[in-house]
Amino acid sequence: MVSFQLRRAGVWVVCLWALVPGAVLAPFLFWQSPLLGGLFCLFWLAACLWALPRRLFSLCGTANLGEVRITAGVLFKSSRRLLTHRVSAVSRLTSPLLRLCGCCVLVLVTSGALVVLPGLANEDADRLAALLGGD
Amino acid sequence: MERTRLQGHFHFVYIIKIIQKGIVLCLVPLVQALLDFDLESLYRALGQDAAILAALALAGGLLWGRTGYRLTDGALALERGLLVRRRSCLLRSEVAVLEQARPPWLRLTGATRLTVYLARGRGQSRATVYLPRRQAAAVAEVLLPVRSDAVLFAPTRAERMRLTMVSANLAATGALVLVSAAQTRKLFGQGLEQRLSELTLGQLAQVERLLELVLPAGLAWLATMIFALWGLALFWSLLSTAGFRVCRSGGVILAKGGWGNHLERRIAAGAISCCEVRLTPTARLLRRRPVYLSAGSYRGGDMPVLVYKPGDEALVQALLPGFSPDPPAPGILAGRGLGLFLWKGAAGFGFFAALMGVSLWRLPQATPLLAIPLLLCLGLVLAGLEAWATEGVSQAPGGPIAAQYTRCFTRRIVWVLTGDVSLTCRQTPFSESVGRCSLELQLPCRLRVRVRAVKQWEASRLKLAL
Repeated sequence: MVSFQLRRAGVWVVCLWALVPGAVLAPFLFWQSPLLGGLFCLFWLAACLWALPRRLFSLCGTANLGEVRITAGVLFKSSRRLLTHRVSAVSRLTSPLLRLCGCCVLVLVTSGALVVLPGLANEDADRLAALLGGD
Repeated sequence: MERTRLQGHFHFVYIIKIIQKGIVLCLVPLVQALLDFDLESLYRALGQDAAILAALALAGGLLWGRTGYRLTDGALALERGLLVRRRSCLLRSEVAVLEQARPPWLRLTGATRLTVYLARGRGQSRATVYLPRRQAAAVAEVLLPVRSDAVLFAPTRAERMRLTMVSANLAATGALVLVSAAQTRKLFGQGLEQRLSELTLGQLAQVERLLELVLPAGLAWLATMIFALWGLALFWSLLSTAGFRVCRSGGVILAKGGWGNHLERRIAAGAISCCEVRLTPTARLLRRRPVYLSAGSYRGGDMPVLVYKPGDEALVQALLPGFSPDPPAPGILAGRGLGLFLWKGAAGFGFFAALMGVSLWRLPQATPLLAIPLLLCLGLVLAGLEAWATEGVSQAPGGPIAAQYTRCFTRRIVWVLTGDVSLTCRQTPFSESVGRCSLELQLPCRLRVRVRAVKQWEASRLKLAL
C-alpha cells in the first residue's frame, strides 16, 4: 500500500501559481473602480495564501491493488475513490520551481474522471506511478 | 500482419461537409440577385461562383484523395487531412457503440454517417465518418456483428404512441427552431428570413386569435408557441420511432428505426456502463418507464432503447440478462434536511409570488402571465418534496450500485453496471454533524450522478468492483 500527502514546499508553489489568474483578471474586471479592484485583490490574496494552502495541506491518500482513496478538506470535506486498475494514464507535470522543491503535479486519468495531485513529492509520485502502472 | 477486409475512400459528402461554408459564399449573392430579379448581378454572381466552385472542387478533390479507411479483423484505421495528416486506429475490442444515421439529405446521396463510440471516455472517445451505405453496413457488421434478428421490443399502435410521446423533446425542438432561424438569417439575409417568418407566424397568428377568446393576450401567444413547438417535437418523434425495433444478438443490442431519418444503433452489451430510467412528467402520466443505456463515451441518446410498464421488468431482463431493474431502497429520512431539496423551488415561488402581489397592485394585466412561472416553481417544490422522500443509493450484495435522484421535474434511476466509476463524497459542516454527505458518481460517458443527503456510512460501504 502507498500512502501520500502533499509536500509543504510544493503546496506553496501551487498557491503562487494560483495568484496569477487573479492578478491578470483584476485590471480587466475592475478597471473602472480601483477600490473594488483592491478589495478583489485582497480577497484573492487571502484565498490563495490562507484558504487554499489549508485545503491542500489536508489532502492525503492511499493506494493499494484495489482502490485509490483521496480525502481533503477541513470544513468542507471531500473523499474520492476509484479502482486502481481503471486508471488508464498517469501524467507528471513539473516546472523549474517544483523541481527545485523536489515536487511535481501528478494527474491520474480514468475514463470518467481526472484526479489532480498538485505539489506531490517526487518519491511519492514514483511509488504511486509504479503501483498504478502495474509494476 | 492483419488481413484487410475492406478499405476505401470516404463518401464525397465528406468534402461537402468540409467546404459547406464556401458553398454558402456562392449561394448568398445568387439568391439575392434572383430575389431582386437583377439579371446583370446574377450573371456577375454566376461568374464569381464558377471561380469559387472550381477552386473548392480542386481542394475538395485533393482532400478526398488523401483520406480513407482500412478495416482489418482487429481495428478500423482512419486517415484524414491534407497537409497535417491524422491517423486514428479504433480497436475492435474498444468499440462500445456504433451508430449509423441516414437523414434525408444523406439518403439522397447514398451515404451513411457512421459514428463509433469507444469504451474510454477520455482522449479520442469517438469518431464520425461518412461512408457509402453498403460499406458502412459492412463495417458495422465486422465491428459489432448481429447474427440473429429476434425482436425483443417492437412497439405498435398505442405503445408506439407512448414511445413517441415519451421521446418528444420540447426543449431540444425549441433550441433547434431558434438555431435554424439564426442560420436562415445568416444564409439568406434578413429579407428572405423575414418573409419566411411572416409566412410561418401568419398561420400561428390565426391559432392565437382563437385562443384569445378564452385566454389573455400574453398567455394566448405563449400557449400558441408551446403548442407549435410541441407539435413539431411530436411530429419529429413520430418520424424517428417509425418501425422501431430492438433486438439482442449475442453480445450486441441492436436498436433501429425511423422514417425519413433512419437511425441504427449497435451497443456492445459488455461495454454498457449504466442503465437509466427517466421518469419525466410525460412518462408518469402515461405510466411507462423509458430505459436509456450508456456505454463507453455514448451517453444514452435522445431516444430510449425501450419503454416498459411497471411490473413488466421481464422485458428489461430479456435485454440485459442477469440484471433486474429493482428501484433502490429508500434511504433513512431522519436527519435529512428539507431545505437542501426545496430551496430552489421555494426561492422561485417566493420571488414570483411577490412579483404577482406587486402586479395585482400596479399592473393587473401582467398577473395571468406571472401565474405560469409561479406554477412551474410550485411544481419544482413538489418535485423537491418527492426527491426528499426518494433520493438515495443502495447496492445489493454482489450487485450494481443503484442511485435514485431528481433533476427539475424528472426522477432518474441509474444502475451502474461498470467498475469504471469514480465516487466522491462531499460534506459541509452541517451535513457532517448529521452524518450525511452528497454523493457524486462520475461515469465514462461524462455523466455525473449526484445524490443528496446520503448517509455517510451507506456511501462508504459501496463497492466499486462488480
